[in-house]
Parts: sequence; C-alpha cells; structure tokens
Amino acid sequence: MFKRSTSSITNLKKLSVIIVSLAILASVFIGSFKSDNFVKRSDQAEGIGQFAQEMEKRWLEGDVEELYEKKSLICPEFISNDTKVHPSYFQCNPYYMQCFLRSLNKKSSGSRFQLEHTSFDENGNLIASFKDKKNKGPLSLKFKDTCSKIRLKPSVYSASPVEGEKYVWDNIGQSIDIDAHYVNNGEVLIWANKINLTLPDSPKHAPSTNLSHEQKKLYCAFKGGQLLQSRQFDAATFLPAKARNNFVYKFPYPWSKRKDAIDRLGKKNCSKIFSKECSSEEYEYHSTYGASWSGVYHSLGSFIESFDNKFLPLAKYKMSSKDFALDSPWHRLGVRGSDESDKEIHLYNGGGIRMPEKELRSAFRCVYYR
Amino acid sequence: MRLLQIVILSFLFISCEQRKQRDDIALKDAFTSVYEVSEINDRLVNNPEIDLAPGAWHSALKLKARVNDFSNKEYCLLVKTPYELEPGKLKFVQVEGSNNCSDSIFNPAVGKEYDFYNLFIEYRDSVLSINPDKEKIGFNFFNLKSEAVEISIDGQLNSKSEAKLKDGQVCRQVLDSCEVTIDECDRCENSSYYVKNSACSSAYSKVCGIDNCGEKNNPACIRGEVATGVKDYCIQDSPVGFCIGAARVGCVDKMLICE
Repeated sequence: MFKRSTSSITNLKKLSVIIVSLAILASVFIGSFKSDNFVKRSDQAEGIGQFAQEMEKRWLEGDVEELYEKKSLICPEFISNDTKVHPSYFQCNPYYMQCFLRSLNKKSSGSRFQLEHTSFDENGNLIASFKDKKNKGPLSLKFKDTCSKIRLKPSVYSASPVEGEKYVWDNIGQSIDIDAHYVNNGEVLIWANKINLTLPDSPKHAPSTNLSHEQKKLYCAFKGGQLLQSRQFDAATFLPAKARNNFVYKFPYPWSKRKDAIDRLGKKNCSKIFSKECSSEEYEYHSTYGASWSGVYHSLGSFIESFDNKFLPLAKYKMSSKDFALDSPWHRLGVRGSDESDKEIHLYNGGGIRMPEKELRSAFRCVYYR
Repeated sequence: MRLLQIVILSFLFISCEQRKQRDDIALKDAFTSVYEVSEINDRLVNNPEIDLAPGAWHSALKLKARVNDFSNKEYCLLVKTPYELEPGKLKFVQVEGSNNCSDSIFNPAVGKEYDFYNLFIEYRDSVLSINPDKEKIGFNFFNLKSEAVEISIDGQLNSKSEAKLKDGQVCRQVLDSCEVTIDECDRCENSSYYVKNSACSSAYSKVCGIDNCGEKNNPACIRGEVATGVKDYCIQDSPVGFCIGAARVGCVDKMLICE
C-alpha cells in the first residue's frame, strides 16, 4: 500500500513537471510568435526611414520613367498632358508627387504605406499622411522645395548696366538662394487657396503673371523668402568680373564677354535668348533658356520679369522678353523698365529706352536668406 | 524539482529579454522623427571616460522630434553616474513645457531605464549610439540628414506647437564676436531678411518680416563692408548700409536704420 502510494506521488510529480514544461513550451512558442511580431515592429523605425528615403528620391528626381514624355502619366487634375515642359518641372513638384503617391494605393504597388490624404502647410509645403498597413500607425511626410535654387557666390557685385561704383555691393556673410526658374501658376494656386484669393484660370506649368507687385511679395513671404531683388538678379546673370577699386567691369550678355555677342547669334538662338524671333517655336515651360553662369535661367528673353529694386524702386522690370526682337535695346543685362517715366531711370540704364504702351504682365521669382 | 526550477528560470529570462526588446523598439519608433539634437554634454557624449560627479544625474543631450502633424516633442537623455558598487542609470525622459533637461531629472523614463557600470555615448553624422556595458542601442535620425523630406510620427500625446515670431522681431542675432546667440527664423510669421546690427563682418543678424529695408523707419539695406572697405560701421550716413530716396542711414542701438 505504502509502496503504491509512493509511486503514485512520483507519477503525480512527473505529471506536474510535464504540464509545467508544456505550459512553458507553449509560452515560449507564443513568445517567439510575439517576438516575430517584434521583429516586424523593430523594422518599423527602419521601414519608416527607408520609405522616407525612397519618397525623398522620387521628390528630388521627379518623373524618372519619363511617363509624361510617353504620354502615360494620367493625372489630369494635377498635370495636363498636352504642353511642352522640361523634365525638371517634375522635380519637387507637389502636383506630380500627389499623382505618384496616389499610385502607392494600388494593390500592385506592394507598398506598406497607404496614402490617406494630402494637404499644404503654412509655407505651401506638401504634407502627405499615410497609414502603415502593417502597424496601423499614422505617419506624415513633409516635402520641401529644395530643387532649382542656386546659391549666390559670396563676392563683390555691381547692379545696373552702368559701370562705376554707385551700385556696388557685396554678399559676404549672407547666404542668398535664388529660384533658378520663374514661380509658376501651380505654386501660386496653393498660396491663393490658403488665403481664399480667386485667380484667373491659368495652366499650372506657366509662369505666374497675374499678381500685383505687392501680391508677389506676399507670395514669396509665404514661401519663406522675399521677392528677388534686381541687384541679386544682376549678380547672378552678369558674367563674373573682378572688382578693382570698387569698379566692376560688365559684359552685356550672359553667354559671352564680347560686346557684340548678340549680333553674332545669327537670326535667332532660342536656347540663349528666347526672343520674338522664336515665336514660331513652341515655348518649353520650366526650360533652361537664357542660362547664366550661376545657374539662373531666363537671364534675357522669355518673360518680362519684375523685381524689388532697392537702389531705385521704380526700375523694377527686366523688359528683355519674347515680346521683343533681337535688335531691341532691352536685350541687355541690367537694363530695367519702369511704370513711371522718370529721368532717374535713364540715368540708371545709361540712356533712355522707350517703354511699350501696353499693360505689363510680369513673371517673378523669390530669393531665400538661409 | 530541479528541472522545474530550471524551466521557470529560463522562462523568466526569455520574458525579460522580450520586455527589453519591446522597450528598445518603443524608443526607436519615438525617435524616428528627431530633427534637432542640442545641449550636447561633451563630458558624456563622444567621451570614452566619464569624469563627472559619481552617483548624480547629468544631462547628456536633448532631442526634438516631430509628432502630430509636425508639432514638437522634446526628450532628454539623462545619465546617473555609477557610485561605488551601485550601478549607473540611463533613461530618456520627455520634457514638459519650456523646461530644461536639468529640470526633468525626476520625470518618468520613456521606454526602459538601463543600469550600467561602463557607458559610451557616441553622436556622429546624425546617428546616436548608446552602449551601456555590452548592450548597443542605435538611433538613426532621418530628419537631420534630409533637407527635402521631413517625417512626423502622428498619433502621439503631449505635443506642442512653437509660437510664431512677429514682423520686426530679431530672429537671428550675431554678436560682435560673430557668435550666433539666437537662430530661429523658421518661426517667423512672414519670412525674414538680413540687417546690420553688429561689428561681425562675416555674418549678419536677421529680422522677421517682408523685406522693407531701405524705407524710412526700417532697417537699412546692406551694401557690405568688403564693397565699401569700411570697418567702423555704426556711424551716421554709414556707407555699409543704404536707403531709398531721401532717407538717410543712421545707427540706433548698433542697428543701421533709415531715418
């Protein structure tokens, strides 16, 4: 009897050890299953970083597949498919990016992050909100326009087409970033929607020419910048020349040091200066026409452009544009037009040039102090 | 019976490992969106030998992260140095309001609190590595590397928005020694522009607002010290600045203005 009860106690002990062992094994199994989840979750930080990196690449590079060129970029509400635009238009472009992000929601994309909605922040930066399909966690990415800006080299510069020391200045100690291209209607529309301003319906890719001078200043402030100053545009377009005793030698054209460079162009040269002679050609928007040494485009030709001129506020227009033939005196760097007839503008330009009588509509760009 | 003890001990060990892993992950998630690392204590960070008072709490660095639609959340990395046989402690805490790290020592830890006898904290190229004894915890701050894209981790509690700076407020202050004491122009309501208010010739201060330089009762536009060859800038009709029309350059409280 005693022997039997001892053996049943031993059996009971064994049984309990087995039960506990099984329970532990189960917990270890569940643990390892959870741990697998953790591995997935531990990927999250890496996954978010990797996803953000991929989106950054797309934002900066734009339409690398050239879908627009092949007419297979189908987002009519964001991008019209029927105009000639330079590929750089799609870089840092919130409309193209919205079109691309929407494609992430297609099953075939295999993306872990699903676009929920897009909006614009107080500086007009695109914000895209995503849902992480694995972890359900919300995530937002802000896309900032870092493309198509050039930094003005620290140096001594001189404004206006006239040589001499009157308008000499330097930007040493200042970081000055200038828009390489004109501000376009699509960019202005984001600001106009924020402040409930109604603007005439214009193609998004075309330069904005509908704003008043004050509205241009407000737009640039919204973007964290200022309306480009005339002296800064001069600095970015006049071929660099060493300042000696505050005298900066000036070359009137951005592509050559020859004073007669425009006469040597022939009938037309639309890539150097998109002038009236180029009207038979289709204008390429966001193009590289009129490139300067600094990387700023439309140094001469293309659209009339307005600036903030701190030396002489009324001298605010770069008149050189596709409205004038190559022999026009407006096609010289530094020359400015004005709404008002004033002798000061003649002194500024080193001679009188007759303004056209039609109403001026001008493009613009911004400058950013970093 | 012995077998049972071994199994229970193994179980406890596995649970502890999992908890630790979970805490590490929570921290990594929280810090994915760090955009600023400041208040770096050189005696603790990138310093292989800790020569701080033993047994006391010290702040190693401060992290600012983007959460909830690009609002801010601030954290501090705090370290209690080992004292005799007592191990040191390391924890991240969330900073409330405008408190400093030193005011947040008794805040509860975000994630796990680590014990250690040896510690090395390294911060280089936007990567923070913390090695308490043989452990390794790494954080890669994407927002610090990228200029074009910024991450915000949403759905988090206790975020705060930064107040905007009004037009006319100095948002970047450069001293005569060229030391920058304030630099927060991204908080301006309406952009910012350069002004001349110090003798430093290699950097300029900035003021919030639309650039009205050169207009009467506004800062003077900057012509520059190199272009003019003038060093002693703060004088009446200083050539270092210029004004529009009949306004004249003056110098009030070291700032060139148009009057």
